Amino acid sequence: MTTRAEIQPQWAMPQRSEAPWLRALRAILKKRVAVVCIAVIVVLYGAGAFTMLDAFGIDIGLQDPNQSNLSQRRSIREVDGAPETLGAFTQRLDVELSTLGELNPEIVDEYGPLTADTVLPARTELVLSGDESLQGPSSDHWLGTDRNGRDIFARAMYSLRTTLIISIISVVFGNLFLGLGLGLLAGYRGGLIDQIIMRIGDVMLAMPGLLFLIVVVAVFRDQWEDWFRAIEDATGMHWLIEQGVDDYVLIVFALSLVGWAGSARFYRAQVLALRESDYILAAETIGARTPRVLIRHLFPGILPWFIVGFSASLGEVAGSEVVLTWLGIGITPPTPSFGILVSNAGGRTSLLAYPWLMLVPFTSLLILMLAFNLLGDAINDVLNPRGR
Amino acid sequence: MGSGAVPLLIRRLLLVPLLVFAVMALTYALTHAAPGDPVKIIAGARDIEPERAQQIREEFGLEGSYVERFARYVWGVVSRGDLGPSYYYRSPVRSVQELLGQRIWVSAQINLIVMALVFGLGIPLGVYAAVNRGKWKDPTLIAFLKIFDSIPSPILVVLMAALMVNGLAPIFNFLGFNVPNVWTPGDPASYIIPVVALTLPSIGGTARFVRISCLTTIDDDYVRTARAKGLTERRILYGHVLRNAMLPLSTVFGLSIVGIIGGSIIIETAYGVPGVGAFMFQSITQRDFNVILGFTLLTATLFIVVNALIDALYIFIDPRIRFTARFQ
Repeated sequence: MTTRAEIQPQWAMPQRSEAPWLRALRAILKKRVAVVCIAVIVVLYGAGAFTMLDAFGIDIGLQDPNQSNLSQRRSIREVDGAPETLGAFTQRLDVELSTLGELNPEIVDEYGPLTADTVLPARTELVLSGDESLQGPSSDHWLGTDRNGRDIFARAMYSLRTTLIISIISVVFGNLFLGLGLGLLAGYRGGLIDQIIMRIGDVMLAMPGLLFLIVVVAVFRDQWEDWFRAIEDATGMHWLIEQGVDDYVLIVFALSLVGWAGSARFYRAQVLALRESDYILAAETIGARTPRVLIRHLFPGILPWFIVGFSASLGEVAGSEVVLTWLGIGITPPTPSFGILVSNAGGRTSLLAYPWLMLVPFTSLLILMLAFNLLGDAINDVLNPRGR
Repeated sequence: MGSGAVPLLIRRLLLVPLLVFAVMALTYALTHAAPGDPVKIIAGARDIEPERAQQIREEFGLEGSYVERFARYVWGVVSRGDLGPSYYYRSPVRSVQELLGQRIWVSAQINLIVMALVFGLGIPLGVYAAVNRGKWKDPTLIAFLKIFDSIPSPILVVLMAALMVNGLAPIFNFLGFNVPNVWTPGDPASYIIPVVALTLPSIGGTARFVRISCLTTIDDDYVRTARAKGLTERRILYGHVLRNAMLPLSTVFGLSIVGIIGGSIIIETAYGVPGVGAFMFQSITQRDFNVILGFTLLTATLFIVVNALIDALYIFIDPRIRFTARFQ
């Protein structure tokens, strides 16, 4: 007893050891590749976030990504694959105007005879001089313009916004809420809950991911807009479809539905490894309930793995969105997206004639996806020293 | 064979029909319950007379409740291999299995070539990276392969077309042929672009996986023993290290099948290959839900069977699994 009493004053609370995630973060930041990747991602996502400012009515100095700068005749129609000439257009207009005049004599009475000459000339000149389609990079349009004369730099910036919104929300929803939540629950509780969750996951994983994604999106696409119109009418938020929210929600829904199973299985395996640890037992002994054990004790243990999964999924999701949109079932115009930029860029001939159309989405996506890929690898190397 | 192997194997193989059934139920529910009335899709109009609707229902086997229809569908698949009629090709009505059968050959050819290339190139590259670990060659090689992994496939097809048709034209001309700009039936050079565009993104993952597998075994005691015995580095590498690293690689095999099938939907659409992938996409735009269902079922079954075989192989090859595997 006496010895014990002598020792006691010298005993101090051991210094709280560094949290595992902090240690992991420190190790990651030592890797040059990882730092560069994080910087690239921050810059690109930052650019996407920057364009969100205009939703709050702040002028961000970008051109309107959907503003066509075209002569009127070009957007009206094409004849044998070539833009209709001004002469042909005037003739056609004449015919249509005379029909209009016959049907509505009161207009003729009020404004005089309707012909192309009386209606158009000044305006046509004006519009023709404003044709800015397919221009190369210049000081007006930093990355050139597309077939409709839209500024590609602005379109790319707004596409980054789409990528940002979709990837973050789907990963947070699918990977974090569904995947991590269900994985933790299944791994920790075991038994029937585990069986149910993992068997559903097995079925999800038994289907090729991209295929499943395409099927889900294609199936819901048809009614989706109807549902959103109903929501708009019910809530009075009539900007939902106009801002492309319906597309965002559809893709996030599909990506989460398809993506949760893989991450749930992954996190569950990590939990199984951790569940037997002494510190979990200790927590249970002092009467911690399931939510507390999950959130306070298990989650920090698997946090490093969560970061790997998160960064890998972000890249994957960004790629899936491009593919879905390119197939015509993802984001629909007018919401700008890299998938739309790619499909508007056309094929080989366009690539050779107007390289900036394809090179802009190509370079942006390459940099972004490469950054995610290399970051995922770097984090994995840090956490998995054996494979280094 | 240890005592646990056979029951475990049987359990694993019994899972196959169960999973296939579950996938079938899920896809059927998605394609036949969600998109509204198939009758309207077939008729191509929102308002149709009741007689016409009844006629369509009889013709396409759509009478009865949802459960009845599903039961009929399952029975058709199981007993006759009948995947139902196509909604779009219907003068005369064509069955889904017939339509898929016409297109599957070209896709299978491309996918098999791609598989062979992915593993034929990915394994040596991964081993090469593992051997050179810690030097500049390893991270450079892996990062280089990652580049192709990071290009979305629609872009890759266009870039490859520009490269093959224009950039490399002199080389191909010298070899005596031209790479066509789009798929040309009967021209073997048509295979080049889809095969390359499918192979390049997959090599990186395989190489990286092989590299990690090799690195986890390269420091093991038995490798040191082999080296101590005085075996050549080559024999150590291919006879000892790679042999053990191959086992986990078989899982990647299953995954890469999926990747390639998913990729071929895009590549075939982009390059105009008349295969099942492009047909699948076409059916999506035409809302031909029986084809979508049939294709999904076919791919999922292939995937499930291959994975089961790989797991079965595992059970026999690796004795540790019999005692530790929990099959989850």
